[in-house]
Amino acid sequence: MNVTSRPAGIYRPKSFGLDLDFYAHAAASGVVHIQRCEACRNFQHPPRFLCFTCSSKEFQWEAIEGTGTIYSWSLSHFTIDTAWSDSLPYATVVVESLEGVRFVGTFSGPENDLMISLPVNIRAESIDENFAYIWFDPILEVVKKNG
Amino acid sequence: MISQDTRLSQSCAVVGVGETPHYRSDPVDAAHLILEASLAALNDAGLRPKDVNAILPPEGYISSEELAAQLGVDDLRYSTTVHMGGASSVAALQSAAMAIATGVADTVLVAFGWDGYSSRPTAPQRPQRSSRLPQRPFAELMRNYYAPYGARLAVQWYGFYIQRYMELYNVPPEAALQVALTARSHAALTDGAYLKDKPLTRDQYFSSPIIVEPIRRYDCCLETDCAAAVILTSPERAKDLRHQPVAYLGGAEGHPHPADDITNRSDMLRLGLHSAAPRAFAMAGLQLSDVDFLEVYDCYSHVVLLQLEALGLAEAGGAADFVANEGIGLDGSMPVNTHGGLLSHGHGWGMNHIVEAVRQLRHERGSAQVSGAQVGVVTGYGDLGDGSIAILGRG
Ligand SMILES: [Zn+2]
Repeated sequence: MNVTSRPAGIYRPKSFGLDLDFYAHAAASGVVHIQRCEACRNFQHPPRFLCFTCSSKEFQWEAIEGTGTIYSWSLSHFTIDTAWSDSLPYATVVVESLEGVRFVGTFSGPENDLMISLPVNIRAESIDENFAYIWFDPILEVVKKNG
Repeated sequence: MISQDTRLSQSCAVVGVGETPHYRSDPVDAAHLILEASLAALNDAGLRPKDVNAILPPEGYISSEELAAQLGVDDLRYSTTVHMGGASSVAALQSAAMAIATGVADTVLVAFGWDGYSSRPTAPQRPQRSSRLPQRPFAELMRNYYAPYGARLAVQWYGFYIQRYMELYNVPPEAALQVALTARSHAALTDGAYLKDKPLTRDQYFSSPIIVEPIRRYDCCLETDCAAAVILTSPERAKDLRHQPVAYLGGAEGHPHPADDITNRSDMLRLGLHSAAPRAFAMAGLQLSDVDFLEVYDCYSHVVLLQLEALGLAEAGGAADFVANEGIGLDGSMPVNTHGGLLSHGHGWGMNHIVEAVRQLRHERGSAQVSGAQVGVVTGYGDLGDGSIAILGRG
């Protein structure tokens, strides 16, 4: 079904270290931030201690432009997560941001509109200081695949 | 052809195989099953536990030390465990070959077993020993970045790349159907297959529920409690043993990058097997046209399609045409999963695929025998993209 608001009681990650930093930046600003290597300027996600391109340890947290395209999704008709039971079937979506990294989140448009390369806005909904929920909002109304 | 060291080719042979039945009833102790399968493999080889000097146990459930203690292996010289999920069983053959080729050990027990049914995610209560299974490499990432959005099961993570595969290449649903139906028809010819007496029809398949699109219930591997084991030794020693030896002709493992996050791989559809397969064939000095049958890791039907392409049987997106036109049944141009696979035989993490390949190459398979089989390929697939391959040959 079309998921437009976050289901109650979703799994909350007990993040620490760099993963917590990722969420804290998003929660504080409402904008997703990702690691950018100070040496080679590579963007990377999920956050890691080393730059996987040049092995540098120096990073900035940089706000993403905020747009991307749908890379893939998983449309569940079955779940063990009771928070999601009432939303079945629901999509868990992978989006590639303009910076070239990919995030998992929820698409706020109709699930029938899901298609590879569909442009979306990437939004962080602050839940508390340690967690933000990632949304993908459709930018354009979709012209239906089959007319 | 890529350049590849060939020292492991024909460095050892499989001389014994054993497996337990597949159970889906009362909770079992996986360690007991592993011991049973290990003894069965030793008996099959005509060897005693004291002949074994290396043990490669599966992760969790039982250590090499406990296996050695229980079996009476009193001179254990080498042990290691491969941590590649479902790719571990086939990758462990590579470690066994390395141990034998270098003289570190001469006779190796490779064992697998688990309580896949008793510890399934929906089980009311998991057996005590299950807690020993180590955390998968992607577990923390999954909890931090996938789980909040309702994706907590392997089938949901597989959905990410199977969905992309189906969309990019317009793969018809009949391709996965054919994998599932073929597996079931092979299980019907296999003693010990959990679904031997349960035929599957096209109508049943298409009326089975979708778990995660496009994966239907009958595309999913069984959950079974089971164990299987194989014994490897040097080619010289193999000659004097009971059965036709099955030679290790080549093998390799491969890992996608990054292995711990499915979503940020530059190409989500590039598997470990894409890099492993060419190396294994180069090591064996063989080509696909030399291969008589495949035992392909089949956690989901669609994953078989992806691996047929990674092996080079078809271009990217071309597996559906291969399955439809060439055929993967016993009468097809490339028989696949001649025992029924994880889909219909049981979930032995691919050790049952190795056991089946050995039986095919010994020409023991009766009505399921691939006529005149000389070379068989086994693949492993685990931890959402890790791949392994073994090329085995008669004699
Ligand atoms: Zn860098």
